[in-house]
This record gives sequence, structure tokens and C-alpha cells, in this order.
Amino acid sequence: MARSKAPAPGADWMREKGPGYPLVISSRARIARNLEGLPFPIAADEEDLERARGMVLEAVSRRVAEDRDWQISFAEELSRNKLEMMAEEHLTCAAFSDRVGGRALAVGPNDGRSVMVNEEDHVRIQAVVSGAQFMKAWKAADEIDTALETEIQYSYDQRLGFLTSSPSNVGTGLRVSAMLHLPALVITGEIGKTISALAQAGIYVRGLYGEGSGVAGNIFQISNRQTLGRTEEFIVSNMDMIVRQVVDNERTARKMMLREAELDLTDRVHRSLGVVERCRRVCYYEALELISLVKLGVDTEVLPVSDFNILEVGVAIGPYHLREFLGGEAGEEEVDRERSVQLRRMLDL
Amino acid sequence: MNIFCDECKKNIATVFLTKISGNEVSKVQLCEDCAARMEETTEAANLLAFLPQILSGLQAAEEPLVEDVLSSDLVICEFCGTSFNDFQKMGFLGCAGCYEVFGDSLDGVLLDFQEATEHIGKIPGKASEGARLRKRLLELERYLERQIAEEEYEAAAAVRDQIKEIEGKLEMEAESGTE
Repeated sequence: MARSKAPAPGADWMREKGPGYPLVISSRARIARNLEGLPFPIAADEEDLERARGMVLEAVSRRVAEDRDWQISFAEELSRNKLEMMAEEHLTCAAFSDRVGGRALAVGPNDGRSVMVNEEDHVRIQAVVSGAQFMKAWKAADEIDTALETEIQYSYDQRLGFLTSSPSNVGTGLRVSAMLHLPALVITGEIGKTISALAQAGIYVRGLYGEGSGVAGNIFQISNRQTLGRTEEFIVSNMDMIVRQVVDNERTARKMMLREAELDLTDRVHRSLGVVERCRRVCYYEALELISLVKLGVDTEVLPVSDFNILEVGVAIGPYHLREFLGGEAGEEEVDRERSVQLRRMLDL
Repeated sequence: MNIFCDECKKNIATVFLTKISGNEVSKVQLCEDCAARMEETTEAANLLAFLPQILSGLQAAEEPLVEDVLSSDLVICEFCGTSFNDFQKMGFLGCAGCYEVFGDSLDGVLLDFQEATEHIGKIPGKASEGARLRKRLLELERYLERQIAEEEYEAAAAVRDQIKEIEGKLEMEAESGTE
């Protein structure tokens, strides 16, 4: 029985090739804000959460969603699977689904913009764009921030700036991050040095799904640690500079592999392609590792496979996207089997 | 290429992980059973890994601060009921008031974690105007008290008028903000 292809997930940024492609997958800016006079969500009762949600969503619909194309969802009205799919698409974080009461998500019309309500902070504005375009991502988020501020009064302190539930976000509330695909640095073992240099430069290194997630598919998310005592412009341009350096390191490692370890490289990528072509079930983490190496083979022109966006494929074969595609009730084995099928379809094999 | 699980060395590995611990990156391949066991322990470890970063400012601080911190354990925010101890455990503050109540101890945390204690970024239009007026109001109220204490009633009357004017502006602003 021929099954259809799983629908392409997420917003346009997952399908576009931005500057720095294919090493820089995407740029994200996230701004944390809270409402004056209300306790932060963690200490708020149901009534306060409802009030905050009402105020934020009204401001979003009056000042941001003028085109009416924004989609607003109350977390408690979504199925567990839909909530997890949002996390897989990087619209929310895994913690968002843990406690749904009073939470909401407003998503822009396929443009990578979103506003998360009542997670760690009352307001989390997010903008994601393809490739290395940190200024563009920040400008998009900042525009929403300025628009919301005409409707709601933010919690702000003269000395400390915008107040957030975690002091790790206080000040600008701005976290800028880059999603990077760095297989050659991992294979050559050079990634250790890079991570150590990044840590010294005040940069967090995390996995595909951010805080607390492991690294899979050689995809790394790096972001600024400090949000206080720096201007937004500095945070943005600093990330831009740092990403350039990391990308240079990855390019050098790829060249070195091609020059000095070509057999090892071609063996690795061909083996991965072989498994993708022949496997009949595959778990999520193995699949991410496989597409990472196949992608490396495509980028280095070792494999005769047409180009694909590693994140778009990675999200589409996520456990919750596949479960939704299979009708919501599928077990792990069925999901793993479908993943092997979709993997071949998405890679046109 | 070894196909067996790094952990039990018996089953075929189907889970592949890249692990970052400190500055070290290592790859592990596991069978499903061992991976499930590992996941339980790493989830707990991740949770713990986040807090010490935030709180290391307290541990690394100089001697006198340690005493401050011990006594500030008992400090409770009057606005939301969060104690400093709660913050140390969870890593989250309960409300804007916590920043004021835990002021000095928090500055230690901020210095270590953010390497700064002052915001130099975006200033919200409304908040900056409101904050400026509130600051001016405080100054005038202090001045008024001094004038009354010194029995300078004429000067005090003039200050009182200024205070009323600012209070009026702040009220108007509050009303337009809640419309």
C-alpha cells in the first residue's frame, strides 16, 4: 500500500537556504518579558495566570496580529501530541507542555514569529529566520516587543532592566541563538576545543532541543549567556561574529577530512546512506545521526543524493509528528517503521 | 565498526548519542534497554546541572557574604511568599518584588552569572517616563519632610503642589495603561 508523504512541518525558515547554509541552519531571537503588578507565572495562582494571558493575548491581537493570520491556541485545549509537536518544531520548549494551565501560544503566519504566554515568564517573544541573520531575527522580535508595550506595562527596573523569573534572563531579556550543523568538528574531535572556546566567550552550547537536551545529529544550538550589562546590538553582533568563527572551524575540518581522510569520510557517509536505504525501522536518534552523515556526504559532493534541509527532515521524522501522521495512537514500533519509510521519501531515495 | 552496545556489550546498538560533559564531547552507542536506563539518570543530572551555574556566585563569594546568604535564607518576599531558599532550590524568583527583597544576595548571583549588575539596553517608553516621575516623587517627599521638620511652611506648600502635580500625572498614566 502506497502511503502519502508526511506533511512538511513548521514555518518557511525550515525550508529556506539562508546565509551560511548549510552549516548555519537558523537564527533565533527570544525576548522575555513580564507584566507589572502580577507575580511571575511560577508563583501565580490560576486567576493571575488567566489575567496575564488575557492581557497578553489582547495586546497580541490588537497590536501584532492586525492581519488576523496569527493562530492563537490555549495550551489546555491542545492534545498532548499537538503540544509535543510544537516543541519538536521549536515553537515551544519541552517544559511548556509540562504544566498547561493558563498557558497559550500565538503563532505568526508561517513566518517564524511567535509569542508564548505564561511559561517561565508572562511573555516570550520569538522570531526564527533561516541561516545566519541574527539582526533580522532580533529586529522581528523587537518589533513585536515594542508593539506589545503600547498595550501592556512591562515589569521594568531602572537599574536591572526588564525583570524575569530567572535572573539568567534579566536586563534585556534577550537570548539570541544559532542552530548549527557541525559533523566534521565532531568526527575529527575538534569540537571539544570549539566548545571550550565558546564557553570562555560566554556562549552556551546545547543540543537540538535546547536546555537540558542531548546533542543528536551533530546539531548544536549556541546562545548568549549574558543578558544584562550589554546592549541588544552587542549581543546580536557578538553572536554573528562567533558563528562566523565556528563555521570557519567546521569548513576547515571538512576540508581536512577530504584531504587527509577521504576514505574514512566516504566510508562513513556511504554506510549511513546504505542504512537509510535498507532499514525497516529506525529510532529517532539513530535517524538524526544518519541524516547528519548523509547531509555531510551531500555537502561534500561525495553522495549522489539531492540536497535537503536537515532540520526540516529532522522535525518531520520526530516521534510526535510521525504519531500525528499515523493517526495519534501509533505505538513506538509502528512509529519507528514509518520513520524509515518517510526518511527515504523525504530524501527522494 | 563495533555494532554492540557500549554499556552491556551484548545487544546491538540502535541509539546513538553525542554527549557533552564540560568541554569533552564523546559519542556513545547503546541498545534500547541501556538507553532507557541512561535517560533516567541523565534527566536528573541535567536538572542538577542548571542550578549550580546560577548559584555558584553564592558559593564562590567571599566569607562575609556566606553569612549574609545564610541569614537571607530566611528572608521571604512579602509580595509573593518566595523565600531565598526557594530561589536557591528552583532557580526562579516569584515576582518583581523578589529582586528588591533579595537585593544584595542577588547582586552576587548576577555578578557571577551575568558579570554585570546594570542594564544598559532597551528602555521601554512608558516605564522610563513612569519610573522617572516616581523617582522625582520620592525625592520631593523626602524634601517635604525636611522642610516641615525645619518649619519652612511656605516652601513646604510649594513642594506639596509639585507632588500633587506628579501624582496626577502618574494617575493619568496608570489609567491610560489599563484602558
